[in-house]
Formats: sequence, C-alpha cells, structure tokens
Amino acid sequence: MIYYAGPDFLDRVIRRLRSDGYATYAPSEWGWFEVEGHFSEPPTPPPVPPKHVLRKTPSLVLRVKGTRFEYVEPDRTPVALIGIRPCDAFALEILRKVSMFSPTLVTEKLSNLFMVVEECPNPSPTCFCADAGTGPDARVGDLAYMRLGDGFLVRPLTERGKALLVSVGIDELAPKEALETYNDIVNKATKRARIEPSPHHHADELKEATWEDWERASRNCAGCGSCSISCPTCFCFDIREVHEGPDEGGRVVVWDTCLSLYFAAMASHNPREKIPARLRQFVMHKLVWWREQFGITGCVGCGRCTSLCPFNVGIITAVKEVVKK
Amino acid sequence: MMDSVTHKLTPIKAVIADVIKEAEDTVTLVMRVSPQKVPEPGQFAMLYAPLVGESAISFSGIRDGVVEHTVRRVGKVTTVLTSLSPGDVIGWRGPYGKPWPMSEAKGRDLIVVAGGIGMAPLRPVIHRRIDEGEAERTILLYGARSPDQLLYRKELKEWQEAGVDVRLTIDKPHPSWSGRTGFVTELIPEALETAKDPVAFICGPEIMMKVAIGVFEKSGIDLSRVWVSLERKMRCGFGSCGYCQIGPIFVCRHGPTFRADELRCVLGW
Ligand SMILES: Cc1cc2nc3c(=O)[nH]c(=O)nc-3n(C[C@H](O)[C@H](O)[C@H](O)COP(=O)(O)OP(=O)(O)OC[C@H]3O[C@@H](n4cnc5c(N)ncnc54)[C@H](O)[C@@H]3O)c2cc1C
Ligand code: SF4
Ligand code: SF4
Ligand code: SF4
Ligand code: FES
Repeated sequence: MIYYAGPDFLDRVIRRLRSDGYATYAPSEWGWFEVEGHFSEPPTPPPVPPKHVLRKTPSLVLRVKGTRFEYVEPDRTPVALIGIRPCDAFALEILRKVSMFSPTLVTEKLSNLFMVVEECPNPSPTCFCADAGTGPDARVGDLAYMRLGDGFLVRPLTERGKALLVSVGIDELAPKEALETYNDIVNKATKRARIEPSPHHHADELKEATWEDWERASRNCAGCGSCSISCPTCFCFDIREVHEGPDEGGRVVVWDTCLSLYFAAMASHNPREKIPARLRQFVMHKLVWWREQFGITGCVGCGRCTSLCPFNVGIITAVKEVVKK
Repeated sequence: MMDSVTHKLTPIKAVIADVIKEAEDTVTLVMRVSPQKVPEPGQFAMLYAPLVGESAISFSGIRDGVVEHTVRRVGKVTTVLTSLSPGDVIGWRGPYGKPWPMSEAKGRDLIVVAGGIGMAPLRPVIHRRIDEGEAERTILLYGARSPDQLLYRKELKEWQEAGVDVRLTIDKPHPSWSGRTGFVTELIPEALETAKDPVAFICGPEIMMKVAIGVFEKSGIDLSRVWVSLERKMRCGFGSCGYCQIGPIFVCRHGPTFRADELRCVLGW
C-alpha cells in the first residue's frame, strides 16, 4: 500500500514520535540534528553514517575512583531516525546481525529504534545500493517515503509503521498516476545506483588477489581511516583511558579503524604493518569475510568510503584496481 | 535482551595475594578473584591497571579461590602489572577464549612445545596432566633465550620428579648452561621417537609455532591433532571490538587456541 501525504507529513510524524518519547534525528550535509518538524531533503547519502548518532564517541563505559570500578549505565533513550537513507537503514539491520554474535556499541539503541526512511530519486555517482540490494527504494525500516512535489508518497514497512500512519490520520491512498511516477523514479534510480565493476560481484577475484594487486589498489591510500570511520557497518572500537585527577577518571570507547597503523600492532610484531595489508583487511572484511562471520555482506553500497576518501580510493577504486589485471 | 558492551567491559576486583619473580622482566601474580566461571587451561583474562590500560593475560595457574597470571614487561600496562605488590588491587574480567582441548589429549601421549612467555598458558596443562595421573605420558619441550629467562625453574624439577619428561633448551650457548642449546623446534623430532600417536600443544613466538607445525607435518603427524595458541592485539576479549580479527576469525572468541590445520588456512602458513 502506498499512501499520499501532504506537505505537513514530516511535521505530523515527528511530533507524534516525540510525544511517544523518541528523540528524533534527521541527517543533513553537516551531520545529524535533533528535529522537531519538517526538514529539507538530505544528501544521498549524508556524510555521517547513523552509527555516530546512535553512539557518539568517546563514550564513557567505566568510572574509576582509585580501585573502585563503577558500571556506567548506557543511554537507552529510544531514537527515531527520520530521513535515514535506505542504505543506512539496511546498515543498521546488518549491525543488528553483528550484535547477535557479540554486542556492538549500538546494541542498546537498536533494541528500540524507529526508522522513517527517505527513498532516493537521485543516487550519487558513487552510490551502488542497487548492486548491494539495499536501495534506492527502502528495503528495511518502519516507514518509507519519497518526496514528490510538495507532498509525500508513504509506504509502511512494519506494523509499527502502519500504526504510526493511522495515528497521525494518513489514510489517503496514492492516486494511480502517482504510483506510476513513483515506479518510474525508482526504476531510473535503480539503473543509476550501480557501478562497474561492482564491488559486490568480484569476490572470487578478491580472494585470489596477490600482494601486487593490493599494492596497486592502495598506491594512493594514506591509511587515514576515513573510509571505515564513515562506513555505516564498521563496528570496531578502541577503549581508552580518561583522567580527571590523580586517581580518578574512567574508560571510554571510541569508534576505530583497521586502516590505522597501530590497530593490529603488538609488542612482538604487526601483522598488518603495510598499507596494502590494511586496505585489504577493509575490503576483504566488507565483501568476503563478513559473509562468513554474519551470513550477510558488510557493504551496503553507500559509496562513502570512496566519496569521502581524500584520495578517492575506498572500496570502489580498490576493487576496480584489483580486478583490473 | 542483548548484552551490552558496557556491561561486559566492567571489571571486578582482584587482590594480589603474592608476587613471584620469575625473570628480570617477568613475574607471576597470584590473585584472589571470584569469576562467575571457573577458568580452564588455555583461557585468558583482561587485567586492568586502573587508569593505565588493560592487557590480555593467560591463566598460568588455576587453583581453588586463586588464579595465577605470569606477565612479561613489554609496554605501558605490563610495566604496571609487573611492579605490583601483595595487597594491591587491580581490575579483572574473564575468563575468555577457547581452552586447550584437554579431552583430546586424555589417555594419549602429549607433547607440549613452549617458547619464552609461551610457557605461561601451558603451565596449567602440565598441572592438569600431573593431577590426572598422566605425567608419564607428557613430554615438555621448553626453550628460552637464556637460562635466566626460563620460567618456573623450581617447578620444572618437580614436574620432572612427578614423571613429566622435561627437555629444556636455550637459544645460544651460555656460561651458566650445560644443557642443550638451539631452538625448541629442533627437539621435536626426538620427542616424536618417544611419543606414540601423540597430540601436541604449542605456544610461543609466531615464527616458532609456524616452524613447529611444519616439523610435525613433515614427521607425518596429522595436523588435526596439533593445537597452537595465537596472540593478537585485543581490546575487549569477547568478540566486540574487532581488534583481534584474522580473516573471518575472532581470535578472542574462536581462539586463542586453534587446531593447526584450521589455523593454517586462515594464516596462509
Ligand atoms: C590471548 C592472549 C594471551 C596473552 N597472555 C599473556 C601472558 O600470559 N603473559 C604476558 O606477559 N603476555 C600475554 N599476552 C600479551 C599481552 O597481552 C601484551 O604483551 C600486553 O597487552 C602489552 O600491553 P602493554 O600495555 O604492556 O604494552 P603497550 O604499551 O600497550 O604496547 C607495547 C606494544 O604491545 C602492543 N600491544 C598492545 N596490546 C597488545 C596485546 N593484547 N597483545 C600483544 N601486543 C599488544 C602495542 O601495540 C605495542 O606495540 C597475551 C596476549 C593475548 C592476546
Ligand atoms: S582508502 Fe582513502 S579514506 Fe581509506 S585509509 Fe586510504 S586514504 Fe584514507
Ligand atoms: S564499504 Fe564503503 S560503500 Fe560499502 S557500506 Fe562501507 S562505506 Fe559504504
Ligand atoms: S573493515 Fe576494519 S574497521 Fe571495519 S569492521 Fe572490518 S576490521 Fe573493523
Ligand atoms: S579482542 Fe575484541 S573482538 Fe577480539
């Protein structure tokens, strides 16, 4: 079922969710902001992935006073992400799978998360959600919408989503022409949201790749880690100390990246000292090992790791270089 | 309800009951701690030096009410851990990881190959073998860089007296050493002449384990009967932080003990 909603759709939905106790956030060019009503269309995708909204780091996990260790209750305020893109919504479902293996930094937040997904009529040149099977129309979430002129075409995806629509009085089915327009937009967007060679279609070549292939793939990589810090599914974190006095302070968790030199470094040796080994870890984990670990891909095709890379490397260029030969 | 990272990262208190100096840079901490699960040989704990940091440290001894950890000083956290005194309190959480498969070795000959600090996680294996009356079916091959780097020197004699076949070596000739010299992996072929159809547990520097696996394979030992304990940098110890990954494997959860044939595929040895 697709419904038609007028220009105040976001106002109504957001007000309702807030009165139900959700903290409501929407993405923008500059990060995610708490919103109370309508907001303008976010970028495809927004530069900051939702994991940073669900857990802002550094985040305190232990308070230490001398030799007293105090448990720090994690923040459990329910969050509603409004305007989250389909790839990012899918990424959170992937993190839910990861959390079944072992808790992630967003586990608490996932257990009472509400997602209102903004579908993508205009994928970016680095978007490949159609290859990844995560977009450009919403695959997961509670409610999906697409902006159409002044109004919105709205699809409930869960019972909760349906109930929300009913509660804000949206019950007008979209007219036939609007449905045709919607399908047309999705079809066009789907064609655009692909990349050749697609990172998702070359697992065998990646498994066979040699050290020289990875050297070629990483020759412009600085090992800065922007790729995995901006990747919506990367779950790695460091634990660090904070000091507030001579014997007072605590421990914080911080989102981290396997691209950094110290990530795997031990006193005895560093198994991924060279940059090709580190870029390989990122690409192989996302596209090959993730499947073995969690039964699903680790890449939703948002393209951030390439579009936000200072040297335009990321998964798109890396795979292209590896499969070149 | 899913577990939370915060909850799992909260340590309990461990009181240092005794500190035994093993070598210039190594001590054994005897500590009183009450974990929810009884640790098994091969598992490890995260030891927290308050406001300095945490290190993964194997159990080097497991007794009623106390556990032992043997720590070698290599950096920030281990510097604090090796300078503790009785009565000091640190943070502790665990046990973590997959134990040595003691049941695979039960009723069979066991060759234990240890290099340097790698003796620490194997010490409870020796204890267990002696307790279970299998000392005589146990061969310990143990190598260190120099005589004063051999850990548990007093105990080595006791193990020998209890029936364990203890064979020591140090890397290079040394004025105070009249025993064997050379790498510990060179002792494996001889041990294989004594042992019948053995199982092997190995722990030491990565290159030593790689060589040892090669020697066992060359001697016709099925690598599904050889286990090693691997070291990787760890932050959480329970599969969340991602630090210890090798390919699809989380060393903290799927290891640190691995069957050699399985590990080989992952590491490409
Ligand atoms: C399963 C397991 C069991 C272990 N058992 C023992 C044991 O019984 N006895 C013992 O002395 N040591 C053991 N270690 C090694 C010990 O954890 C490290 O030596 C220690 O964490 C280094 O910390 P540090 O703060 O002193 O060094 P740092 O000052 O942090 O660093 C010194 C160097 O060690 C690296 N490092 C940091 N964390 C680790 C780590 N977890 N492992 C290796 N290198 C690291 C740093 O990157 C740096 O290069 C074990 C490690 C693992 C993974
Ligand atoms: S691929 Fe780009 S973003 Fe990632 S570490 Fe290399 S230079 Fe940084
Ligand atoms: S690997 Fe790159 S394209 Fe894939 S989900 Fe992560 S940031 Fe997006
Ligand atoms: S790609 Fe790197 S940072 Fe991302 S989840 Fe895998 S190991 Fe962690
Ligand atoms: S040490 Fe954190 S995942 Fe293994």
